[in-house]
Amino acid sequence: MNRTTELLQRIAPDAALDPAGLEVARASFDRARRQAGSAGARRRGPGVDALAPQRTVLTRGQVLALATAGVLLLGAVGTTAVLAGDHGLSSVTRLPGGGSSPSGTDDSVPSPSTAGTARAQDTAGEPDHWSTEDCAPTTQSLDTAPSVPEEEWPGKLDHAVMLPDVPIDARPTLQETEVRCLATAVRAVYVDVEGNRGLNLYRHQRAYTSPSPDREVPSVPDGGRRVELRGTEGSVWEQPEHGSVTMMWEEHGTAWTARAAGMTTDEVLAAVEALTISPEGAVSGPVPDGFEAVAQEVAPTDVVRLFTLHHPTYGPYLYVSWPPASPAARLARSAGDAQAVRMPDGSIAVYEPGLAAAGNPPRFFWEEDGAGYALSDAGASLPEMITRAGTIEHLAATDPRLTAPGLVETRP
Amino acid sequence: MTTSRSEPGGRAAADQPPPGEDRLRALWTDHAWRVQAYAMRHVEPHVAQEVVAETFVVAWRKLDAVPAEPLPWLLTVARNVAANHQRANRRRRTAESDAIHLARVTRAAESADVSVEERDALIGGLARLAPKEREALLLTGWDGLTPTDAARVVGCTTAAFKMRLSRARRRLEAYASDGDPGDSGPAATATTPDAPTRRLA
Repeated sequence: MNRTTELLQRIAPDAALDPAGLEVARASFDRARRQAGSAGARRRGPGVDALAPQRTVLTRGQVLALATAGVLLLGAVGTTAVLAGDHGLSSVTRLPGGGSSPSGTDDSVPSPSTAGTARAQDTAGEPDHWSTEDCAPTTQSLDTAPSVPEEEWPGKLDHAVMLPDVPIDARPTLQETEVRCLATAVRAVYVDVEGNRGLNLYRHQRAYTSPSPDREVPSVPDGGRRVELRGTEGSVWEQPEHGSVTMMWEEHGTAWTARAAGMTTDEVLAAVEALTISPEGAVSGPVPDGFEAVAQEVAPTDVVRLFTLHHPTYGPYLYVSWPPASPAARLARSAGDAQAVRMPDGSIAVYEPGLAAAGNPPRFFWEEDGAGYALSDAGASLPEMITRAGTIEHLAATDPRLTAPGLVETRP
Repeated sequence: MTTSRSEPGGRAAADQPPPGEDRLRALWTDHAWRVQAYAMRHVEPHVAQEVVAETFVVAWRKLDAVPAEPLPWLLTVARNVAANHQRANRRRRTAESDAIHLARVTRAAESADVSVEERDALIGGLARLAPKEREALLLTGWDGLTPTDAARVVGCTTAAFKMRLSRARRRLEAYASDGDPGDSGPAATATTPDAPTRRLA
């Protein structure tokens, strides 16, 4: 060991540097456990007894806001499609009453069916397993997928949950469809957490154009322009007010969309050009500098399910979908005001502050235990959302609270 | 995990601690101060308190996932928690330099049996390192992690970590002797403007 290394070890801290601060931390920790326990939170750890109750606990002003956020003040707006949208972009967002979501960014990525005058075609040339012949129009997005009857929940409801401080007063819903029935699927997600930048690649189920020899390029939305992209003519749509860039092109007979937030058009172009896309729709290639690739693997034959908790007054407030749609994909979709955060377990979550003036509550998207979650909670800050996410209580599919008589009826 | 202290206050037999309580208590006793020291290298002391508390809340909730050698796991959680605090507080963050963070957490020269000059030169050298290199040195030199465990904490491969560690040692020696590392790597241009090279208060 050389002298520098030896000196370095000698000056290493060898005891608590700030015993008073450690006491404050312990008090905060104990308090968080007690509150979680009194709220009936899932017992994922041991009990809630204080670690060293006999000691005089210092109560300095700096304490954690680990307490759960109290009574939910849910915004008067549903957030349907919050998770479904990550599986399939062309979802029809709607409110419980049938209105449209004010969350414009959810629908702002053009799909073949909405991109101007482009005509959709059948998936000629698609591999058999991508055939959509059996898919009804109502299964094009997860949030409009058929409901699963309650008697079938025991074999299908793998991720029943609740918030310990919000009783289940309205009937939860479970919906399912197959991945191949979703009009659009996220095929690649790249995220730069520090820089709060995101890039998603979506593979649509159809080409933009007719199979005639005179193929049309994807139509260009208002404000867009044509661009040479991956050896073909595609289009670019820049929304500087949202900090987003959208590119559309056609490849292997299928329409593709790249949606980016926090990136310049040139950066998106360079990143998309560098990728390799197989005829089967697998995306590979160099991860853009500063980004990390987020696993986004769903097999075409996977069944996707969505469990939703509803509030009798405010509508849906907690969503769980599985296989998990990556919450990181929200970053590019939300564009502008979303914030990527690293969860304590290293996974990536996304916080959307919402728009109070529009009655749009903050939303938090995270992934845990093989499922993707979305929580709406009016007035909840990012730290509060993280805290609330940690209080989720897992229920058995047969838990009587899910199907109790007298629950307010809801419609998926 | 070694000892489990007796329950304070003479707990009645019928009121035994719940399963895992002993382990949680031992985790805190053995490692809370280490997590705090780690946090204080990265954030201000009052934020470090929160990082410690949140880290142990996660440990409590996921006690089954905490490995037998828990420090790398705890530091990984603390790292992510601290990063979130830094991100959330970015706008109102005070401009505390890395050197001040380091000076706060190092042992005093007298108790460390080093000269004041040596200590200050080391702190100054550490502050001049690129953050990733400094972290590599301190996770191994201070926290006592193996390169493999430390690589997990920072999220890179063991091979990459060892290279980083080797580079960091080389540069620290050069900096600590008030010299120049002699290469043009990132750290050579990443000198913190306010990093002191002389005695800290």
